[in-house]
Amino acid sequence: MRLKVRATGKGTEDDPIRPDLSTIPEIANLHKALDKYRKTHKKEITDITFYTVQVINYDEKNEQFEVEIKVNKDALDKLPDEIKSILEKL
Amino acid sequence: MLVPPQGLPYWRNKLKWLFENVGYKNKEYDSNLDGLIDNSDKVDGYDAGTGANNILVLDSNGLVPLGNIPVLDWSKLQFPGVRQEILQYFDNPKILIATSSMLELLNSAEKAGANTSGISATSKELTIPGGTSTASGNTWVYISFPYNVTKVYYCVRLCSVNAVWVTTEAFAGSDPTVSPGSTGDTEYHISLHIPATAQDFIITKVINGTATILGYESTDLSYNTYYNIEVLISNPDSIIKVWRDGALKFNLTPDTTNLPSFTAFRIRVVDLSTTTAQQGKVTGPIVIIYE
Repeated sequence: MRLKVRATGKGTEDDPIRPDLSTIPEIANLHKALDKYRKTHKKEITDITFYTVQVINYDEKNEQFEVEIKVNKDALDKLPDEIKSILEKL
Repeated sequence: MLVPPQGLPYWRNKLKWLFENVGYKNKEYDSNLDGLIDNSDKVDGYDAGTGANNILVLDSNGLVPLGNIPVLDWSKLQFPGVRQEILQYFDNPKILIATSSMLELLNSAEKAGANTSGISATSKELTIPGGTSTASGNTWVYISFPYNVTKVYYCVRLCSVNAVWVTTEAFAGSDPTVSPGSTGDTEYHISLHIPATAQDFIITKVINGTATILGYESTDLSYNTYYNIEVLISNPDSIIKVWRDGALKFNLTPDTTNLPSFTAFRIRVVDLSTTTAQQGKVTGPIVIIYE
């Protein structure tokens, strides 16, 4: 899916200018679930691509990114239900 | 006595019958009676010449005529260590380096940054510290292109031992020793960022030290693990492609205004710790092609 999100970051290497996806509920929920699951099952979710984000356009003047998010549907069957269900909503 | 009838048709048929049924081995035959034995100027039924279905005749210099040499199709060729599909983007590719010996890589590269004396190599691995055990910092190796290039392909296997960032960089500034984050620091970097939470493979554009993320892969990668990274940047074709472990991760449009050409390839390690020496490692094969 493609969507427009605001930019965040100062432009340094540690804090690059980037699309702020934390405002997308599904993304925020996914990372919360991953953080929780990682504590006990880190190996099970290592080196699995959940999704990729690509910048389509950056409107520097309005500090807004247009991004494309692609969910890795091939990974769904490898994931626990609590993460799979969130990823399916993306 | 039976007198055979005279006439060419009779004798022609008689001879044909003898050839076919009596086992005459002499096959020379003038089927149209023009005085030339059939196929006397042919090889297995083919005429000599340079046209279709001809037996090829060399030119006056004893060479194969240019028109009879097929045009090379790069996309059909195999080049060791190189993803075949990228060859279609090159007309006349050149090799910056192609080796599996990290001793050769280190011998071919220049060093810059905070801890160049800490860089070491065996034939198998090149180890780059970011800073030292008491100081943070950036350290990198680089190989300059002989001239500014608009197409770059590289593949390399990269590992973060414990470093925050380990990056490969298509550097577009004029001085590859310039410090990261400063004026003149202009490049794409494709990085392992292991400490991030499910954002560990990233492509970033840096213009005069200002970093903007172009894409990231939401995944958790591991320390002390090698990942195969391949990058194709072709400004004339308006394409950036990035693969990790053989899978295409990013397919982007380059910024040809701010990064019109490239001057060097860099591998850099970032150490943000003042209590631990953070390192990255490189292993082969490494192949860098440019045009």
